[in-house]
Amino acid sequence: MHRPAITAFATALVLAMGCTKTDPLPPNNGSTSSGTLQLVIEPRWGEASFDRDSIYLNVLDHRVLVQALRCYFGDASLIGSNGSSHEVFDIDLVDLINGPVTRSYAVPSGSYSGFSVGIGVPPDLNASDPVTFANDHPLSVSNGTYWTWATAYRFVMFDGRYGTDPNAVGTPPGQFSIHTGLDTCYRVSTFDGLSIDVPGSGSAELRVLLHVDRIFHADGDTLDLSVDNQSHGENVELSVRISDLFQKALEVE
Amino acid sequence: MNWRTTILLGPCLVLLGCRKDIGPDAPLVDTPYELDVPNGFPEPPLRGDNPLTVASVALGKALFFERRLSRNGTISCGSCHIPSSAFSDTVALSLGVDHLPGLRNSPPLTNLAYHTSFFKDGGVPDLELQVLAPIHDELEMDHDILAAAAVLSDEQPYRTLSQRAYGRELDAFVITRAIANYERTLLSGWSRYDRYLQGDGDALSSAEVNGMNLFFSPEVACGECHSGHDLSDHSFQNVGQYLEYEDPGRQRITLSEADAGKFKVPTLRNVTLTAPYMHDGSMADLGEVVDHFLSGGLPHPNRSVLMQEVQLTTEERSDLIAFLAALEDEGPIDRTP
Repeated sequence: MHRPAITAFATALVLAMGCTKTDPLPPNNGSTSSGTLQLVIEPRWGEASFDRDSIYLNVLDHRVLVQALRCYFGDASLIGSNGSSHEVFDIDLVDLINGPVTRSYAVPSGSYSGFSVGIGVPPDLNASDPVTFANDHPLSVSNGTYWTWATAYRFVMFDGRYGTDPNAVGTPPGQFSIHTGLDTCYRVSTFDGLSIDVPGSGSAELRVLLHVDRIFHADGDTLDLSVDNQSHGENVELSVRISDLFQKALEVE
Repeated sequence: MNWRTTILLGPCLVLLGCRKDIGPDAPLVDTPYELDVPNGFPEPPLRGDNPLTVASVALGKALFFERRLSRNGTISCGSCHIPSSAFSDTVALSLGVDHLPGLRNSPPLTNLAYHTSFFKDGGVPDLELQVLAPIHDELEMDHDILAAAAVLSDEQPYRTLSQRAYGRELDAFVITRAIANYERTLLSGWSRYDRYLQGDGDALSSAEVNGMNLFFSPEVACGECHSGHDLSDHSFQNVGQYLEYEDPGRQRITLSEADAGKFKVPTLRNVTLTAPYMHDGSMADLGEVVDHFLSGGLPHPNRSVLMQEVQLTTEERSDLIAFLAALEDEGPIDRTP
């Protein structure tokens, strides 16, 4: 994503929000200065950093090579200790296949106790016309994330190869390609009990972990790639399951 | 620029160049395109953010027949929406680049200016967004509209028309807007049936009048859905074509079981020119289609309640088909310069 553009946009947005009646106050200390939020999104497998070249064993002992791991995040907000909400960004497209991604956003300085983020494209933006965006915008048609048949964006793009023999070697033979989308797959995660102090003219880091291994198993739902390996909008049931699993795989460190 | 583009753009540029009130690159947003609306038709709703102008329509027409909008330069919109077939195709499933068949039968592109949803499942809510779909569909043109625009925008005729129509270089925005505007001009309402409605009692034969009366009768009830000036209410109906549909139809968009096997009711204008029929092009001629509807179709759970078996005599069936033939336009659909 075009960092200067989003930074400028976030700054303008924050300033504009400061003028509204619904959210007139900075987080909690009366400060009107601006700091920087460093948002780090890190994919992991187990306790280790995710490696795109590794072939992992998932919960079903299927060999898994992840080859694409992209997703939209939308309507990200910091939550002040007084419950006020401060938008960090409206939409971002993150490619995690090469490891952690770091973004910088201008936010009002102060203390925050929570972070909320949508997984996917919020419904109002999901109805956008992609050709109206500049090529470096997350919603541009240039990203190849738009389902023209549904006039909607893909939310999570999770592709790779799998094999059911845990002792095999070489590139796994099977292919999986699971793309979620449509408004029914939009999820919002809220992380409370955080302590994020953004100093004026300084920065604070917020680290969001994506546990890729948990996309295959969480809360009693297990993704069996030998069956559940294709979804491009037509397999709604699988798309919904992946949306739920992906949401559960997110954690704020 | 290829020969086809030259032929299409040449007269437009000459005409535009003769105008005294515009400079060579002046936007033509204040020069509306005069739509030739058929008698009895309402004025189509137009988009305020994409004014129908002489330059935008001319540009859209050139782009509609521009093969370089496909990945390998082999097909254009007009390849599968053939003007002489009321802008539909002559095969069940049109062949895209690399000769791959598409998913559904290519529909005629007439009276789109009145539509509020596009494609047989209604998944696209406006004409501008629709343009993007076939260009990017891997079974159709399989191209990147940005890459196509980068090539075409370097060519002077496109550059000039784009500047005149939209005041900007040819890009994805311009391509989608211009083609949509050209498609908006494709109005169908020039048939003998239309003349009959306008008071020309001799426009239809007695057999065709009898067929028309059957068509709109409560018993045959074709006119329940094939109604209005477009002879379609643009609703989504399951007509019992199959007990199990490979193509989910409207369900693909709404995700509702109740919409399985439902497809947008097509216009019947120029129906004699748009064979083969049905969403998958599986019926070769009008007789087969009429017989399906008269049979009431198969008892799919979502089948329309209007799909009931109807007994017609051989003559009545023939009259019904004769009426359908009277829906063919006598004049051109494309009335652009």
